[in-house]
Amino acid sequence: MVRSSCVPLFWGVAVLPFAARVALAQDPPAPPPPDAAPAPTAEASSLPPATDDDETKKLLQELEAAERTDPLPSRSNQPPGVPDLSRVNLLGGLPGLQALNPDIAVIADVAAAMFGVARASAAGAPLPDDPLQTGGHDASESGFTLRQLEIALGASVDPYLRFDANLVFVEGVEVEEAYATTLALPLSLQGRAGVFLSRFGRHNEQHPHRWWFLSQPLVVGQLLGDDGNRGLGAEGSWLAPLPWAATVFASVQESGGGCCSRTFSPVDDEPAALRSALDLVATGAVEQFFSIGDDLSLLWGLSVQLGPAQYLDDEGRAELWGSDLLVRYAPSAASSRWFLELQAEAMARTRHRGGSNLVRDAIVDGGAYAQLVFHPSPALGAGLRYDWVEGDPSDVAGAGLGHGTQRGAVVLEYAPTHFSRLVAELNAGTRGQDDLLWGAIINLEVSIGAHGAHAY
Amino acid sequence: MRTLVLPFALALAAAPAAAKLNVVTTTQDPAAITRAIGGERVEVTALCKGFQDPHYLDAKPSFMLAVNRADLVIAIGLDLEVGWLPPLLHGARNPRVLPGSPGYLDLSTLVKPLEVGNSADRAQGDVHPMGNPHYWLDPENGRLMARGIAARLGELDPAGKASFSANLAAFEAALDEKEVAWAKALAPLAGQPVVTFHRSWAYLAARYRLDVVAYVEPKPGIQPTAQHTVEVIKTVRTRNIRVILMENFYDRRAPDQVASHTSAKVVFVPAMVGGTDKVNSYFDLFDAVVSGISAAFGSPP
Repeated sequence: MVRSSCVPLFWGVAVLPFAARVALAQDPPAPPPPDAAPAPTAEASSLPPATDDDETKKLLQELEAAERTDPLPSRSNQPPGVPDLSRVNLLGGLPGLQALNPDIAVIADVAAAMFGVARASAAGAPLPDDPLQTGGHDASESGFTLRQLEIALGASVDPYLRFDANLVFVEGVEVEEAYATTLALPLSLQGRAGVFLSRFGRHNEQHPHRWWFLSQPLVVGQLLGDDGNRGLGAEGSWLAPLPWAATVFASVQESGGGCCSRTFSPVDDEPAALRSALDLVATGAVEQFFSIGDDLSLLWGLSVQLGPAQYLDDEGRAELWGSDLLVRYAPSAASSRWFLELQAEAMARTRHRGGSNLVRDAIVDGGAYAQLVFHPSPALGAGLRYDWVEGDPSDVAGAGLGHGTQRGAVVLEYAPTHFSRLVAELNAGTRGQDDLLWGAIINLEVSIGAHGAHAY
Repeated sequence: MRTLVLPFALALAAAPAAAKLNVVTTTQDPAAITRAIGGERVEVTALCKGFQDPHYLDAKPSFMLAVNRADLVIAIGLDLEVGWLPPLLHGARNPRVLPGSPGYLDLSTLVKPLEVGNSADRAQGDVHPMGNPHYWLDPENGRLMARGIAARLGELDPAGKASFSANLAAFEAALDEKEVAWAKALAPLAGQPVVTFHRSWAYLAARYRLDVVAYVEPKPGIQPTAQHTVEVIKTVRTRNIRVILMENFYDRRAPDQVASHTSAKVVFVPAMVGGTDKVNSYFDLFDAVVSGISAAFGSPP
C-alpha cells in the first residue's frame, strides 16, 4: 500500500522541476483572439493521436527552446561546491536517479575446514567432539561452508537520517542489522533505532568480514550469543566535549533469543517476556580514544549490560561487564605501510535469582581474549590469539564451555586488494574437560559493489 | 543588575566575531591554500599528512572530534577519501559540515577532472569513475581551489571577505609568477616519455606536456608484480625513458628495480604539501616536483 502510493509521488517530485523549468522558460502563450474558434480537442481532431516518438520530439524541442533562453549552468560558472547539473540527464533521468540508489555491497565468505580431536579424556569418558567454535558464522563442520552471504546497504534517507542494513543469507535470510541513524541532532548527540549490534565491547559490533580471525572469540559466543548481541531497540550517543575523543552510548533493546542475547534469553527464538521496561536489555558504554603522536593509537572501552534472566526464575536478573582495549602502532613515515595491533577484551557475567544476595549468591562466570596482528604490508598479515573462558558446560545460558576452556589460534592473511582476501586459521583448544580439539580453516572472502567505509 | 548583565551580553555578542573559523581539510594541500587565503581568521587542521597515502587512512576517532568542532570541511572529492571520510562525517554529529551544507566544500566540483567515465570495473584496479582525484597537481587547479576556498570562507565569515579577497589576489599573483618559472623549467621536456608509479601525475603531465607511457602499478592500487615490472623495464628500454616519477609515500623497491636495469632515474618526490619537511606551501610542492624532474632529465643518463 505504501509502495503504490509512494511511487507516483516520487516520480511526480522527480518530473516536476523539469516540467516547471520547461514551462517557465517559455514565453507565456498569447491569449486567443476573441473571435477565434475553440481549439479542437484530441477526440474531435482528425489528426492521428501523438505517438511516443512525437511526444519525445516535442519534449526535446521544448527542452532545446528552454536551454536557448536559460542555458544549463556549465562547470565554469558554477558557484563553488555546487554539484554539476550538466552531468544530470534530465530527459532520461536514469543517471540522476541511479545516483540516489543506496550503496549496495555483496560480501561472500566461503570456507573449507577440517576439525578433529587430538586427545581424548584421560578418564576415558565420552566427550563431545564437536569443534570448539561458538559463532553462528564460524565454520563448524569438516568440509565446505558458506559462512555467510552478506548484503550491505546504506544511504542517507534525507538531511536528518541515514539508513543502513545488513542482510545475511545462509540457510534463510537474517536481518543482522537494519537501523536509522540521526545526522542532525544538536549538542553532539546521535540516535539510532532499529535492529543493531549493541555497543558492548569492540568485537561485538563488527561483522565477520571485519574480523582478522575466522572464529568468533569464545567469550563472545559464551556470554553474548552465536551472532553476538543484537536486538530491536533504540540508542543514544554523545560525543563529549573533551580534549580527547570520548563517546558515551546508552541503548535499550529487546532480547533476541539464544542467537543474539544468550545471557538474557538463552533459548533460540524465545525472547524474554516483556512484562515491563526492566525486561529490556539496557547497554551503557564509554569509548575513549587517545592518539599518541601520529603513530600510536589507543582505544579503550568500558561496557555494561543489564537485563532479565527469567530462565533462573521470574525475578532473575543478569549483568554483563566488559572492558576492551585496542592498541595500534602504524608508523606514518613516508613509504611505511606496516602496522601492529593488539586487541583484547575481558568480560564477566553476574546473575542472580530473585531475592538472593547480590554478592554472596551471584552466579559468576566470564572470559577474555587477546589477539596480536602484524601486517608487514597491506597485502600480508599474520596474527595470534588466545581465548579463555570460565564457564559451566551445563549452563543453559552458555555455549557448552567448561571451566578452564582455552583456545589458541594462528592466522595468516593474503589480501591482494581491499575487495578480496584469503585467510587461513589453525586453532587448538580444550573445553576444560581434558580434551584437545583442533581446527584448520581456510576462507575466501570477496566483496563486490560499494561498501561504506568502516569506523575505526 | 543592568550594569552586570550588559558587559556579559556584549562579551557574548563579540565572541563569535573574534572567533576563528575552524577548518578541517582532508589533505594538506587545501590546508596550505586555506591558510594562505584565510590568514589569521582561520584555524586549519589537515587529517591526512602529506607523507601518507590519501587513499587509505584510518578513520581515527580523534579525526571525528576535529570534524565535530569544524565550521568547514574541505575535501578533495572524486572518491579519494571514500575509504575514511564518510564514517568521520557521519560519526562527528555535526550537521553543519555534512555534504550539501555550507560547511562542506568538495573542491572537485571546481575543476575539470581528467579520466572521467573510465570503466567502473574493479578488474581495472582501484578505479575512480568520476575522474582522477589528483587534480591539485595542476597549478591552475590550485588557482580554482583557492578561488573556491576564498568564496566559501567569505560566505561563512562575511566580515573577513575583504581580507580573503586580498589574500586570494596575493596568492594568484604569486602563482602567476611561479607558474612562469615552472613552465620555463619544464618546457624543454615537453613530449618526453615518463613512467609514473600511480596515476597521480596525470594533471601535472597534461599541464607540462609530459607523456606518461607506463605505470609501475599494473593497475591503480594494485601492488607491482614481477611480471609487470619486467614489462615496464622493456618499455623503459624501448622508449629510452629517463624518468620514473613517483610519490614519496609508496614503496620504491619496484621503481628502483626498474631503474637498476635501465638508464632511468627514480624521481621520488612529495605529491602533497607536507610530503617532506621542506614542503610547507602549495608553491613549495611544485618547486620540489619541478626541480626533481628537471634534475633527473638534466643529469646524464
